[in-house]
Amino acid sequence: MASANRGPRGQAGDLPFFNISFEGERIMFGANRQGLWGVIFISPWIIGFLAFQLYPLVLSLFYSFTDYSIVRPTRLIGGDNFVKMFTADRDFYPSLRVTFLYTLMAVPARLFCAFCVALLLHQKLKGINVYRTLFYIPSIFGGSIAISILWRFVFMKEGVLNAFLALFRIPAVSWIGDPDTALFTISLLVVWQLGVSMVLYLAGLKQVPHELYEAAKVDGAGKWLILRKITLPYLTPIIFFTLVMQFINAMQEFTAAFVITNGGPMKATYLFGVKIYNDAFINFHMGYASALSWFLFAVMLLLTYLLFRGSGSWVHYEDGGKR
Amino acid sequence: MKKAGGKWLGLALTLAIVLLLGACAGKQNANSQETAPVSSAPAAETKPAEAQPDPVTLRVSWWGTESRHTALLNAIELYAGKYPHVKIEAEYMGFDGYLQKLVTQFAGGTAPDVVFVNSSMFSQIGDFLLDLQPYGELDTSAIPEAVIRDFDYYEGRHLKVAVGGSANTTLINTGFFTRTGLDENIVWTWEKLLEEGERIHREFPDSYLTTGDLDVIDLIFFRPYILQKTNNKWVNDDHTVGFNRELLVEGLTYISNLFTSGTMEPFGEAQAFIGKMEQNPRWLQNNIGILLDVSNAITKYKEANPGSVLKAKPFPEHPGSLQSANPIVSGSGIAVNKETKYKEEAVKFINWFTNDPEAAIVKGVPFGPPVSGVALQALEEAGALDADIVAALNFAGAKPTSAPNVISSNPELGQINKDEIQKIAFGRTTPEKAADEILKQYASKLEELKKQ
Repeated sequence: MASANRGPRGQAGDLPFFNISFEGERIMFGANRQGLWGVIFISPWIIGFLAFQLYPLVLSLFYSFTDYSIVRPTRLIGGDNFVKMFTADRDFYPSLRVTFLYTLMAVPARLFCAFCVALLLHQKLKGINVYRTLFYIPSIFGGSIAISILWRFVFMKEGVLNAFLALFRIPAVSWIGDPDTALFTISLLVVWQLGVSMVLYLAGLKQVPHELYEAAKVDGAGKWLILRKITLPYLTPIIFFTLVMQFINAMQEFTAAFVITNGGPMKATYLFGVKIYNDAFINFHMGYASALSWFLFAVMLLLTYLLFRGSGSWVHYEDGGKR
Repeated sequence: MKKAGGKWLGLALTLAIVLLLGACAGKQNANSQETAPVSSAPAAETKPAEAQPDPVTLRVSWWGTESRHTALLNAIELYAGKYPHVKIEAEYMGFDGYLQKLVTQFAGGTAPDVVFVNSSMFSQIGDFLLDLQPYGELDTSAIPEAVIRDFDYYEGRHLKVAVGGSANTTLINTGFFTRTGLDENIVWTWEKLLEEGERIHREFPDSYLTTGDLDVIDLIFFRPYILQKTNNKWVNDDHTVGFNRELLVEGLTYISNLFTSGTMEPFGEAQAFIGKMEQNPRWLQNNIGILLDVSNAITKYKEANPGSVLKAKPFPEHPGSLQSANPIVSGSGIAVNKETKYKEEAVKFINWFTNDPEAAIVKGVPFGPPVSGVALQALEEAGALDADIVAALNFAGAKPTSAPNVISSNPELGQINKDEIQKIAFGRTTPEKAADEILKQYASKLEELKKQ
């Protein structure tokens, strides 16, 4: 922060771009060269942020109060979009429910599976890095269209999974064609891509002091007790971090539901992201879709805040234990 | 000096990275569906120097499959040979997302000069298209007046020139018919479909008489079943519905019976192939006997199943139906962006595309048999028309019916039908409840659409 001291020759104050100094009653400005160079170097990011993130963000907030449809002149309609959302859109609550269900299924499952795999891979064995790489590979693919199409061919009635189950005389299931199983099936895609969380847990496991394990073993603690009382508490900051990040991602999920099932069957996989897409690009209700997007943002903000508030009781940090 | 030199080097590197990223983002990807090959004129036909018109670049966009892309690119190459001053840049892709892309381009002022569109798109992009009425050089005399009136006009403006006709048809797999003891010459009614479908599935549990994705069930089963009992359109031009509760219940009961009787492949299994029924494994393994679809789709079904003999038959009808509810639709057409700099050249291209006999031969039938009499005659003389596609259109043309209108193809109204059809298919609602829900949703949505 700038601080200018008055006096015959005042001390220079430094701002990011320029200095302020005083000579008697005169205020002198000089360029802060180092700061200026720094700004120049980060300007591509600043320009990108302003043009492709901040500007669209502000514009979408404006559109949420209009009936913007691309093809017709835009009119300000106040809060009508938000009123419609809560009172007249028959897909709003079902879509929200499906999204929450998906999040409650996919996030804990992914956290749990990633943690178990990390525990398994936290061993000094020959070739362990090969296994770590293999488990990480699905994360590299990401939520791509190609993987989603592959998922459809694996889980459809005549797909690979049913062909495998037929070997054990298990009847075929229409995994993505049945409203009761479709949501579970697309959530498996997210669980499959547990590599990033696994790597974070592995890093966290390496940070646990070995002396604690040794002391526990000396005291006769079993593996389960060590896990509960030493390993898990040390990993809670990482668990919390992955929980928050995956929660945010799950609430915004779109690709898998759109490509694999297109929100069906019977809107069983009609995630909020798919609904926003349909309202914006199929029905051309851009203003309404913007309002939906801001609603989703508000919900995620609130729930993330609640997660942070609740974390004090179970997340343990090294600097003094509980926050 | 060293520090300053390092900073300048760093700045230069930063700018280089930014430019590189910008160039990569803008670069045409060779693997992308939307390639833009540029057609350049061969030197064969060049006008004398003093008569050379100004060079013109026309961007033309369309949707379709590979066979359509090839056909239109051939036509463009022919045009470029005749008119060397015109450079045509083709932009093409699959149908998925085509309208969305077009709408975004029109809104952003970057739309192509010439666009292939469908009448159902008029409500979204009609205001961006050029009214062709003032352009006397556009010769539409070879196109039936009814086609121009019903499919090329919107809100009093002539917005496109129809390029082909299609109609719903019954496509049978003759091998399946032989195997299951069906007579190829059955005159199909809706009830006959149920009767034979139930028998076939009982005798051949892995087989189904027919299948369909959600769009097909709504547009080609449900709506025609109901409309054949009326003289109406699905939604009238005054935004009133062309059906009543009783008809809806009948139609939804029929849809339910299609699944409960085993006539139609289970709903969940067919939905993996929405818009791609030709990829359905049961169809490819000849365990589906009939497809109800538009005549233009016959080509893709034949290409996907080359080992089978497929034939077009008349579309199912109720005995004594009031209309066939199977009009010959000339929904696809070619239009001009009203903001184009080259209006005259664009109209000239459309005129040539529609009426030139040589163009007709070269492009074939990418949008179904052409509606222009000139083009149709040229193709018939060259023996270039698929007999089944022609048969399908002849069957459809045999009985009069009301032409579809734009409001009936509104996607939000269609979604209302599809939501209830899904619930019926999964047995989660009754026809009566579904009918009530459709009427309620239609009332609300039509009110909203009226205000727009």
